[in-house]
Amino acid sequence: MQKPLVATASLAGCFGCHMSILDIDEKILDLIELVDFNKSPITDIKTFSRPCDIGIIEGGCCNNENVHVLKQFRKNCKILISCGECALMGGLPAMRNGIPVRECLEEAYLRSPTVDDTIIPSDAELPIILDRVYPCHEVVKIDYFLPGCPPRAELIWDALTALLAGKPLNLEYETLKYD
Amino acid sequence: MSKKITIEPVTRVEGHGKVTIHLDDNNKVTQSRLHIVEFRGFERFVQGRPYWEAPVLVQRLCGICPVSHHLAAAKAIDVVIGVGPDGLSPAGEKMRRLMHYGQIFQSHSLHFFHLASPDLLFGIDADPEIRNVIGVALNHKDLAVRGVLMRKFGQEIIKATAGKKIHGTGAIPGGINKNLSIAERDYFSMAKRSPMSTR
Repeated sequence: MQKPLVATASLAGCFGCHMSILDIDEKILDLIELVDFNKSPITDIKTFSRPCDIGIIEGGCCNNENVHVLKQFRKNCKILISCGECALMGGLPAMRNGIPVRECLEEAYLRSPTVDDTIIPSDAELPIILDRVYPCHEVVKIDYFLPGCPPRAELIWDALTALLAGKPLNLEYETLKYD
Repeated sequence: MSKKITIEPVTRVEGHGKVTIHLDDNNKVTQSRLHIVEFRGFERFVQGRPYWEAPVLVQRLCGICPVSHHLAAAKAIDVVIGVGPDGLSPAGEKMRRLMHYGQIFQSHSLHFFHLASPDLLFGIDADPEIRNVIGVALNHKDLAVRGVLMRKFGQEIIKATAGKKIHGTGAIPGGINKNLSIAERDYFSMAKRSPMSTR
């Protein structure tokens, strides 16, 4: 029987959730017995080569490329999981919601004390920054949510194994928090 | 017609990245660009926050090297409260230093074993389905286990000094909010805990 296929992506996140996946440490060897990985920064597979069973999304959407990748994941994954606070609620980057994007850009590119050439980058190749940071479930349907910044490694492991076994996940009360 | 080659994501660096290579009609490279485009606005949105939040806010710039950002902000707020680099308590200074050693250790292990070793072991032209850390685990299990344990050791040092493996809360204005307990010290100083001594 073919193993379930997992894909992962980091949108407007910090890669901390992917690091937390690696923090399952020795269980990584058990994980690769249970599943195969497809498109993911953990592998070097850049495009979906097959439809996947589980997609794990880190980060919310702060630009149009994030939205594009997220929609691709929804299309190619049977089950989509929002992993970590940024995917769930926008997380820390959503602190810019309520501040005009121009103010953020000007602070970073024009007024910052170490800035050299004072231009706000603008090029056809650059993604377009959205008016605010959107949590994933406001863009596509999300099936499951894993809280934490990042979700602790054991929680990610328990969630994946419960999902693979078709059992309910016991989300302990103490995991239902930001940090 | 001019062409563009896109490599995304770049998986051999720690963090987000994209490379585009622009070619002219004769397939000569006209421009190569490294894109690190994730603009989140930290420079602006940290303004107006209570100063002691800075170390836990800015570390979320990067979940791979959060300690570096955590400590950089801690140094800044030390100055804010009038404690310069020489004013830290000895315990605070040593705990922060140890935290960063843990960071350097786990980050180097991650880069060498998880990111670079697949290219070195299988060659850069190998099938991407194999040329990754999972391929290493399947084909060179002993090496993969040692890499995983080395990274774990660094992460455990960070947890002991910062409270969490990723995005800890250890550094506070003027010092650190926990000590290294005797039990923790003994745990790390036992030679058999060392990931380098598995041979």
